[in-house]
Amino acid sequence: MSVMELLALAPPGWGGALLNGLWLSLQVAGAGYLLGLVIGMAGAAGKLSGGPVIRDLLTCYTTITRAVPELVLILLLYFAVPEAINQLLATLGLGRVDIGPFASGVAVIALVQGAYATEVMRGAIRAVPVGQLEAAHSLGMTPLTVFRRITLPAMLPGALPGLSNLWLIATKDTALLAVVGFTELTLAARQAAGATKHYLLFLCAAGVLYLIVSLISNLAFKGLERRATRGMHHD
Amino acid sequence: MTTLHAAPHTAADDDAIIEIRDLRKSFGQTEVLKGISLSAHRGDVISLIGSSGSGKSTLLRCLNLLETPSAGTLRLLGEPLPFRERGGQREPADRRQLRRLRARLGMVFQGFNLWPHLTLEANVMEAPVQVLGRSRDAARAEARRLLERVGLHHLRDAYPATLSGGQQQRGAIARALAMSPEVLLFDEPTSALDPELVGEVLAVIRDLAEEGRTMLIVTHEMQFAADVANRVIFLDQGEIAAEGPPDQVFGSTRTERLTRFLGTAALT
Ligand SMILES: Nc1ncnc2c1ncn2[C@@H]1O[C@H](COP(=O)(O)OP(=O)(O)OP(=O)(O)O)[C@@H](O)[C@H]1O
Ligand SMILES: [Mg+2]
Repeated sequence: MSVMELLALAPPGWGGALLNGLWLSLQVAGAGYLLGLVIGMAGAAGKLSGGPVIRDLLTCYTTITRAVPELVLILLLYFAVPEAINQLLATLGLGRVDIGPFASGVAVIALVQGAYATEVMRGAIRAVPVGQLEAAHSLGMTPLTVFRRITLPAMLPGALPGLSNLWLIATKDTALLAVVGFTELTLAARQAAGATKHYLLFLCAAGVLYLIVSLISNLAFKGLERRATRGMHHD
Repeated sequence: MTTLHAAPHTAADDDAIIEIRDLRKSFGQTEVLKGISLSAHRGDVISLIGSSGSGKSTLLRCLNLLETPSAGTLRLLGEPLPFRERGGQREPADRRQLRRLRARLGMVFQGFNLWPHLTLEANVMEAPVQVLGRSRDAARAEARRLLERVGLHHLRDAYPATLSGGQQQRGAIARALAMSPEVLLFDEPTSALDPELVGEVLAVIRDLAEEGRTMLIVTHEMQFAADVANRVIFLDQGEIAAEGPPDQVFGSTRTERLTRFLGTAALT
């Protein structure tokens, strides 16, 4: 088979399988990332204005999640946590639930991204000049309005570089899901390579796809940064 | 100590728009305000003067609760403002009341504090839309009218970072005015400005005073303080050391402490 035939979209070509893997990777990464942003926002708010108990719990969360290898977290969430849940359900006389690789993948990425995003956002929020917030409070805004209308847009320029990095990490972390048999891009490439013995071709093809994702993401985040910093530079 | 009223703070002063009694504020061990009593009535323009560190900003910030007083009572716009203890911290008991009152008190800061991600016009529109629930169209029309008034109509689409300090401060005044506040609090509105920009901001404030607005102005501009105010309060080390009409406070009967302050103020 020629290179073109090997990469053809329809079988016996493997191009379709690769793109399918890429699509799955992007879905897991996207869902995990968005959830991670929500966790990060709540985590940052909790660390900055929560009580001592909340702050300690959040510190435990960010410290542990960032210290444990993601592979371990994936195995934990895929094998150990469902097992524990099912044992609990069994003792309650309830049926089993099945947490598929997609859901556990999203959960792990959200958990890890949430921990890093908490730190990124906390730093960015703390960098917002306090006078801008006082001005908002002095006009009678509720804390939520201040956060939504002032803190959030004012911290974005500081947070976006970090958040853009996190997104790239999220897309690459999906490759770890291969260990639980989830056919995201990396596993799809390995299957194609194994079946055809064209290892170099398919792993390079996967690499190129990751590269394209990262280039497009960079452009998108650059655009966002330009929007967010509109008006914030003197010249 | 010179006072305007013989016994101004003995009974509740019902038509006072701001009334504080025996207000104290400590940061840790240091007591910054040591029992301040004052009342402002509708139409009063009060200049607050005093040397650096005497507690002027702290006093002004206590009035709209950006700082919580450690002790004392506070009546704003006729409403007593109760406090409570929570987690060892004193705080306003009713956050809603606090926001309602804050919306009626305008504050202008030394550092302008315009929001950098919004255009001048959007800065002025923000609180009327978010706090008062005005329509964007109504808020925009009002914002343009106010920007016109402070001479910034042509810059309404500019972002704060592109403006001079004087322009930013006039924009910040327009932002405060957009809430139709019943009292305006100014904390050294010209101290962060280059000397040539001070005049344009003072002119706007003078204009507001002539309109009969109630204002408390912390300032180091002594001539301005005397011109614009019907009452001057001299704060010294957290206490009111002199209080009265400008010609009386600055006049021949001025206290020794004030004379000393005016001597140093002239140099700075
Ligand atoms: N948040 C704070 N924490 C600790 N100390 C503070 C705080 N704010 C003010 N102070 C102290 O309180 C004292 C009075 O400060 P304040 O800012 O009210 O003075 P001021 O009269 O406005 O001075 P200036 O003319 O320099 O603005 C100062 O000694 C200052 O260091
Ligand atoms: Mg001050």
